[in-house]
Amino acid sequence: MSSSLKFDVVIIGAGPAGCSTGYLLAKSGLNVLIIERGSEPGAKQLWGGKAYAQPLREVWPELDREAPIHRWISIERFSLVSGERVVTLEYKLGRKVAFTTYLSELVSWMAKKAEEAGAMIISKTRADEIVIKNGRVIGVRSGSDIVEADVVIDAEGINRILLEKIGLVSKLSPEHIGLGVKEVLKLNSEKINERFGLEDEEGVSWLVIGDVTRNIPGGGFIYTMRDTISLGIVVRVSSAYDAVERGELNKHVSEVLEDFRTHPYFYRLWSDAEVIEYGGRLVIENPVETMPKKLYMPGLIIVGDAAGTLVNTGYTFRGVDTAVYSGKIAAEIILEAFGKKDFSEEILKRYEEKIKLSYIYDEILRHKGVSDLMREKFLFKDLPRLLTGGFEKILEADYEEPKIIDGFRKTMRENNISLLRLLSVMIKLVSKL
Amino acid sequence: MSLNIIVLVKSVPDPKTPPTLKVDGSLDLKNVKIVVNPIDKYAVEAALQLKERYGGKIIGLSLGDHDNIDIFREIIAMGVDSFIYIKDPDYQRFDTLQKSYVLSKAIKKIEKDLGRVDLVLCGVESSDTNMGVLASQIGEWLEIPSISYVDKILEIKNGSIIVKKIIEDGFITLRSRMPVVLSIADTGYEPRIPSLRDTIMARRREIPIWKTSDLGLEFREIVLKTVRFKQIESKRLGKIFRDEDVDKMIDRFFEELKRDGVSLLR
Repeated sequence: MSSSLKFDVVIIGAGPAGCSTGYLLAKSGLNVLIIERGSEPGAKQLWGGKAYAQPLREVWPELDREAPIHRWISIERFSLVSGERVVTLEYKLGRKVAFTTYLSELVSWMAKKAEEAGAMIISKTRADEIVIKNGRVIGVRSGSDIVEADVVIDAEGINRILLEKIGLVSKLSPEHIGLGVKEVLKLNSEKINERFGLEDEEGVSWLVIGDVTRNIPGGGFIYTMRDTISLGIVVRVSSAYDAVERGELNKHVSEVLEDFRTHPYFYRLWSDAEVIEYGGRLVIENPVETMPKKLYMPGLIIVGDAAGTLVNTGYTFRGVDTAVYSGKIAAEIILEAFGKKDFSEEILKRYEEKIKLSYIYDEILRHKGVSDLMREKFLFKDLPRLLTGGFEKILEADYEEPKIIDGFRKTMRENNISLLRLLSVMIKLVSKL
Repeated sequence: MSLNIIVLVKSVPDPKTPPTLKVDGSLDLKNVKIVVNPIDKYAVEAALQLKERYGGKIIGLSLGDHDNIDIFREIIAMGVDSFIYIKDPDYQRFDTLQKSYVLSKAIKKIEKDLGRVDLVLCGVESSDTNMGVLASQIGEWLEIPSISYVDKILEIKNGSIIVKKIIEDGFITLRSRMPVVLSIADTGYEPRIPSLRDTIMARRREIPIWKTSDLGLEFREIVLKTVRFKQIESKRLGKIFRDEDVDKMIDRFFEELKRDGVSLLR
């Protein structure tokens, strides 16, 4: 029984990134401590939605069998809404790519895995400071106690208080942040299956843009869980503020969510469901701009949301798999560092190099600028109007149906959309996404 | 002076999560998170403050049937010197008298090892059954005094203890000889939050598990028999009595109850 407060690795935060890193390092025999501020791992995780499986399987091959998976996404839907009219595109998937779950359940499973592998997880404990001595991170301070470690892993999440303190990131501004608001509706699984056209364990992931966000840049999402439906909206904080200024929004973005929930086309799906939970979460809109200056320093590695691995693809956010994958890369480099007993920048900087060569960074770069595009009124207002208006003329014709092209041409004229503008935005959209 | 203190700690279903019931109406304990009874932490805090003031030793003691001994590590991290868990598969069928009997036997055994036990502390009641009878029952089994609803322990001097006890409309100060059993309320103390260091150290500690058979128990038959579980529905009738005369109002109140089919034990 040793009384020393020294671990090989101390990890700040028991989220997806912290748990995956901790699991892999503990499994390789390192002495790992994970400090979590919430009452238990997963307690602070609000998100319920879609997670991509393959990057997770690389860390936990037993994922499909053991993890708390609610439904495998079998149908992806994309809807454009204008007034009562809705144009929907549906894609039926051919294999198990992504699943729906509550992050609280998933993280609690990941934490259990890490503990079984030998990591010590201590909850209800706040890390107050990353302790630096002679330019090198030597441990973490909590209250008056300092826990020393050869490597500290910062997995503190989107609100990077500790990294701000040591100057590796600057404060986030409203321009950089999106606000997600969601509700969880309780509905039994038979009704969910019936109304969404699903078999048991099959799920829907559904994105909605247009009127449902009162044309504020952003989008709505619907995910089917086992016996609940998650629905929500994500809007940019600064755009929401502008909308209030313009009088399009009264006070709070939750009004937008209420509009979405009670939109007649969607409401019929959950009219008899009960709202059992609601909440909000911040998301980074511009990962490249908000990434830490460096993802490492001597004795420190940054993983997950804190490292800016949340990818905003414009139509969805992808953060769980990228966080886990960043943890996997971190674990590889740290094991190498322990092999050589060298925790200097020379070794740890290879983590950032590997991140930048990985699919995470590819995704981030690929979607760079997408958030600017997402600000275009065209996408949230004009495109839904154009499509619903065009189809209205063709499909709701009482007598003679116009030619398809004429239907859309007329709608463009009515909404002052020029062909040139349409083409230029479509080209931009296709090239960015 | 140095005190030997035993603190009784109960495991309860997490009071923060809504309970789920089985088909027969009983509590579904399978998917329930087990935690330390919140009020017991006030008793632990009281013991720690006594130790800080007078010196001594604190032993935590719990009785239950689950395997989740890690929940007791928070109590160890707060500063108790050692912790003993008595595990009995029949625990759920014990009534309070049997529980207190097992615990008092364990206290006797600990007393044999320590030479002397000065104080037995527990929380005023548990969040699952809210009976509040443990302190007096332990006192009876051990044939020592007991005081329930203690707000604060004021002083210990010459083998006696002075406590501030909560009564219906205020407080009363009582003196008792020791050893004594006290149930501590959640009013006079504020349980400390263990430091990271103490939490880590507590993870590395052994928690001995005793069996009831180790305690030389004299009775084993289960006296508590569950006939059935019934969920009581409550209804607000919104009747207000406004008569001036209090006695009259009380009479009318009881009349109304009788009319609504409520039978009274008088």
